[in-house]
Amino acid sequence: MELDRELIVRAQRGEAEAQEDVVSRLAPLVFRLASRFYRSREDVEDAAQEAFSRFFLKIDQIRPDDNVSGWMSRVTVNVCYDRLRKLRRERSGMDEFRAETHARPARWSDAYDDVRAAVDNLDVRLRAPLLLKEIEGLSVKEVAAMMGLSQSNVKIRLYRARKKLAVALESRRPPTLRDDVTEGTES
Amino acid sequence: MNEWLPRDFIERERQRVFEPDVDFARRTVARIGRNATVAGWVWDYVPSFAGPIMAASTVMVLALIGFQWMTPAPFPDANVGIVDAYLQVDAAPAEEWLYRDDALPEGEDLLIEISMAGGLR
Repeated sequence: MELDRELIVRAQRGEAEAQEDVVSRLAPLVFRLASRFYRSREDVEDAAQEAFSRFFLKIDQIRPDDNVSGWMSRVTVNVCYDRLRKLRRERSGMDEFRAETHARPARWSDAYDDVRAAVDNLDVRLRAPLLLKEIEGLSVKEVAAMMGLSQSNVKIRLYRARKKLAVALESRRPPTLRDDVTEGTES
Repeated sequence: MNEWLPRDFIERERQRVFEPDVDFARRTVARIGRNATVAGWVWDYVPSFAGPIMAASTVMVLALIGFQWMTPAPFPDANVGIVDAYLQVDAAPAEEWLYRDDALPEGEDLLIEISMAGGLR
């Protein structure tokens, strides 16, 4: 989805109507990307509003031939990434509490919830490329461009995410389904 | 796609997308307009990584100016700050005209002034 040049120029001039038009057209893309990182509508909307704030702060730097939706995608991912990192720092004291609340379930009932919890517990530096590649379906090259990383860095993060996720999911499986646990060793 | 994330998880995550409501664009533009009136100072144009460096530099410059203004010079009759007084010690009488803002005399007057100051032997 591309925006026409005239609309961008009018938005750059500060015309509120053009700016609203730009937001309306880009909002579905921004919401879709933000939905990958957040689970509540409020968080998604807050992130989207901050992404548009940053977008309009830098809108003068957009040239007529630029890929505006690509630009907006990068801004959105960076906003989500920054906000999650900030949130993680603020909640660092809550780690023990989170570890308890995400303790192993009594039974292997809902695979989706378990995978979701394991993904949510990943460090955001690993989670962001994982979600963009596996859920959003982007290539390594696209993820690298969107996050401002090298392709090899993205591959390393994906590898680490995969390993951590495998360990986390294995530890969540009930003892009866685990191959490597002998009877009596589990608490 | 891959065997390490369950397909069910991937599919359900892809379907989990929030949609903007009809008023979102208007609210967002109004909020941006409000923020623009209170923001937009120099820090908006400074890259985030350069912020602490610029802040530290600004504090050091202000501290130096304050030090220069508020600390009395170690000479009783001096009406300059300690930094100026310290720097002035290095300038010989023959060199002082180099640091003055006065218009430079021309031709013969310049030679006379330098020789009177002891610059020419």
